[in-house]
Amino acid sequence: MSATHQTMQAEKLLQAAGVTIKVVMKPRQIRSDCSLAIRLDPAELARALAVLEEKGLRPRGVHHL
Amino acid sequence: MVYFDNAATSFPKPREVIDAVTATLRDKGGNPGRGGHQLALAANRIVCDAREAVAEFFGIKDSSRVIFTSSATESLNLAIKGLLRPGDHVVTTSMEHNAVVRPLKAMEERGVSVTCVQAAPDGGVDPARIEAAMRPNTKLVVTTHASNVTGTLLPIADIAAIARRHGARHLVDAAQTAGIVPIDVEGMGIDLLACPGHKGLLGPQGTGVLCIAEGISLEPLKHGGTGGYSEMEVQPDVLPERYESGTLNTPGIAGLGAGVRYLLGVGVDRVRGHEQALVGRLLDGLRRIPAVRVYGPHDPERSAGVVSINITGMDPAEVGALLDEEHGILVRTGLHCAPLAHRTIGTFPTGTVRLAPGYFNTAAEVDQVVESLGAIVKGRNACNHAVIS
Repeated sequence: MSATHQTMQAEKLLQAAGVTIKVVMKPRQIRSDCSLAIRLDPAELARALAVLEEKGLRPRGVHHL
Repeated sequence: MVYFDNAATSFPKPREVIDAVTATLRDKGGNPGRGGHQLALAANRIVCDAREAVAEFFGIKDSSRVIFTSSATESLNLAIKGLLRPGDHVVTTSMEHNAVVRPLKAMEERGVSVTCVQAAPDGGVDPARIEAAMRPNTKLVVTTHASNVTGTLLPIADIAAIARRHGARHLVDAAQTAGIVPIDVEGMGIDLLACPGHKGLLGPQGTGVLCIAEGISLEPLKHGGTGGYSEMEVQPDVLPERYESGTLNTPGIAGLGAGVRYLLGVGVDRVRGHEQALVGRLLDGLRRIPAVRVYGPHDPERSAGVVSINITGMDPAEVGALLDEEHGILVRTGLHCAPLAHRTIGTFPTGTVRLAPGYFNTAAEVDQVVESLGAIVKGRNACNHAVIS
């Protein structure tokens, strides 16, 4: 997500939609900017992105680690 | 004790506000936006929830455009200094608080020109006078929503429309109206709304809000750490973090969120109705004391719940001291950080006694205030003091 506030909004939306997630510090492999990110099971990725898209939240990137 | 100084800060606070502040300090004391551990995230959620409550309260769809500050004064400074550049023109009114007047004076020294539209003696502002003051280079119109001296409400939706017609922005100082009079920021076309968290929104001191409409970008007042984007040496563009450098007042914001949710539950219309009834009762009572002069509108519909008075032949400071010491009634006297407003209503430099009931005051307390003022009027010739200053 682009910043802290959007990450917390995303957490609320995804939890309300029943997606299992955890908010984590962004792994260094992605970016070393001390930001937050949302970690989830790849199997739930498509649904998670759809939930966020519906509310106008667009992730800056999607990474598979 | 009868607290009639809600225009300075609201008291008491709802239980929920006190509990939210305490719970945050006790259980969720991490730094929001700094780190990913559970206490930091708990703090993040508090801030996010409060931001969304404020957005809902003011009819704002995108909560990232709700910025937390330390006070309405900081919000006004951010808006004024963040928007204006040398060569810009500003229109404002003669009822403004120093939190508007002083930043504008500072901007005049940086090459901004300011036109101050004169209000009527009761504090009312005619929108036609605002329109007449607009120039091709007018960038901003700054007005209070209601005077902190007379309570007079200004027609901010009309003024916003005037600003828009002339390609300017409208900054509203809602210090005396947020949480007291319904405000639909997007519905009313307000570009920038500044308010404190600790007055009508019932939150703690040390909190404030600036709502920034889409399409407006301000130069930040503070540059510094924002939690994310740490590898950047410049301030990030993303909202709300762009304007919130430094650790936020998380316990305060928790309290503010609780205050706003309390008001969402009660309904601002109910708050407005109650306060209008108190002001109406107060004005009726004061009318029966010939030595009391009331400033501002005599119609509660035109007032945001603040009434300024003077007692003939008495210094307002002395009246305030007697109310406090002998009657347990707490009010603010003097110029109320609004010398221009006092010049407008003719009470500069001595000022007025300001009566500011709030949502938790009662009709019985209004009666007590009226009775006490009556007693002070009767006893005024008996005063005999020496004052050393």
